[in-house]
Amino acid sequence: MTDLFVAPEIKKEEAKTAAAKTKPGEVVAGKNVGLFSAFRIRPGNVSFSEQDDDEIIYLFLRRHFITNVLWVITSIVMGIIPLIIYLTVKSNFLPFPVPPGYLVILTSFYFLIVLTYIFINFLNWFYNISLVTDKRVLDLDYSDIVYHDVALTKLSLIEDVTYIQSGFARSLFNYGDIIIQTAGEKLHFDFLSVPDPKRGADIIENLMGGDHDI
Amino acid sequence: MTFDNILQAINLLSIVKTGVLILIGLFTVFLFIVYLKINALSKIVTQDNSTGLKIIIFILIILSLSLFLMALVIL
Repeated sequence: MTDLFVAPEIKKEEAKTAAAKTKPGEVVAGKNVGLFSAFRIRPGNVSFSEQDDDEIIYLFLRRHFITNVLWVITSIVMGIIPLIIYLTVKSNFLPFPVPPGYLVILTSFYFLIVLTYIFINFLNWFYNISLVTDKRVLDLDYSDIVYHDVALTKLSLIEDVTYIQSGFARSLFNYGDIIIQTAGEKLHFDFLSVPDPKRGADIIENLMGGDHDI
Repeated sequence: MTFDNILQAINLLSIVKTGVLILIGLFTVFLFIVYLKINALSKIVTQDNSTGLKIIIFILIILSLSLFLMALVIL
């Protein structure tokens, strides 16, 4: 009788080396979180203040970098404006002469403000972090320089994980919101505009079920 | 130009100068607050890149201070 399907044989040596590389349940640290990283599984170089010694971070999330496009364009326009004024408007457009000292100081100050605007917007993106560990979920919200909010909840308190991905840009760049409903004091955790929300939600659901093989 | 006009012009100039100096000074203080905030946030979630951000804000503070001193000398 002829065989319809024959499973390919796995070489014994290959199987042995694969088993030697990773033990069951062992967590291998992934790539390090870069300056512009927004989605990283098992990040190697991130930790938080209340982390236990045996606690492992499985997921690191930030807003998708494309969400920064508005302030990036604004910064470029702000940077170009003085050049346009210099090229198009005559130097004596003001009714009174401006001393050159003032011109130098005020122009330098303007560019310092532009640089600070860029830096602060970058910080707003950089420090809005969500972490998922094998024990809990951490959401760090940072805005307006003086405000930050840290929310933590245990994985066992999570009731439901959903993700929303609506709109043209979100579909095109594959980002969306992950919403975690909890039974804790804070009723829901929102990870807004994170890349690949489906995968993120799947990972959280797996961790809730005790499955650490991501 | 009368003497009163000259006095007025001098006063206006000194007011503008003081205003510019106060503005740059306040801006430096604001940058320092941002530096403190970065420090606080870095303690909550530690990332390797936060050192780079601290260096950048430090450079911005130095630039702002230099501008303040420059304004003090030039204006």
